[in-house]
Amino acid sequence: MLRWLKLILALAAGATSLQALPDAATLRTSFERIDLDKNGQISMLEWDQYSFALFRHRDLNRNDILEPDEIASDADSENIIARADTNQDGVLRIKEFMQLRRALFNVADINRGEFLNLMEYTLFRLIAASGWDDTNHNGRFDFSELRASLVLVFGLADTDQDKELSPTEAGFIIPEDYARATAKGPLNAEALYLLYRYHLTGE
Amino acid sequence: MNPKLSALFLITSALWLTGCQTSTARLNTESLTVAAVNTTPVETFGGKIGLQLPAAERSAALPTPKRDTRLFTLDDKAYQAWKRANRS
Repeated sequence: MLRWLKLILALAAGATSLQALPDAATLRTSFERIDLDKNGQISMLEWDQYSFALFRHRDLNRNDILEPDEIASDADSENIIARADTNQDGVLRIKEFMQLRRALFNVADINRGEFLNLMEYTLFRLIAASGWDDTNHNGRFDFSELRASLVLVFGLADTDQDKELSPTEAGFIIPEDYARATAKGPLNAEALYLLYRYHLTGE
Repeated sequence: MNPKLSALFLITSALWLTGCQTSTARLNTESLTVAAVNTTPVETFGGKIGLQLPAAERSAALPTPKRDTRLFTLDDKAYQAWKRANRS
């Protein structure tokens, strides 16, 4: 009976995690849709165009303002929106929305290259779902913060809590990267960090 | 400076600027619309990353003077240009 209970709990946790973390194919598809000129990088211009599309998609009554019923979502988002609403009028105007979106671009641009590659975009999506503590309050990722955030990503993905990621649990990683990361042992939190660090720095 | 020359310069500049804005807005943005439809609030507003961004400066919270209410910001203009180029 206890065994069945554990299995049900593990499956429930797995379902939550799968919802929270996008898979590698989804990430690549999203990235390629934003990368309009197909050069393998998202520029600030492309990010802005994408942000306009996001704004327009949510602006259901087409009045160029995001009102509470158009932006109501999860608690985190409501908190972010309240802070992005600089004039505190209870709605989000395009200027406020774009300030938020550009701030997000700057955070996601980990290597300060002024564009996002697939790895940076992937980390943005994964960490947005898991967590980040900007310990030095500079509004940017440094590698110690990235390591801490990847521990949270790992925690979300490791649904059976065996301290290593199976290929299924690591669905956000392409098979080639999974093979690389597990060449010398199981994919634990440190190996996950080293994988992304390698992609960002080449080391 | 010759007024005719000045006028020509202004017209050329205006056309050049309009052209620039239009050309950037005319990128094939159909894929963006598709991407936007499938985007979650976490991705749109940044989720746990957005939570760590510093709160907006309160100096911007001052009421907008009446004389400025019809002024568009650069973002307003860019958005309007984007909408014109992406009429659906």
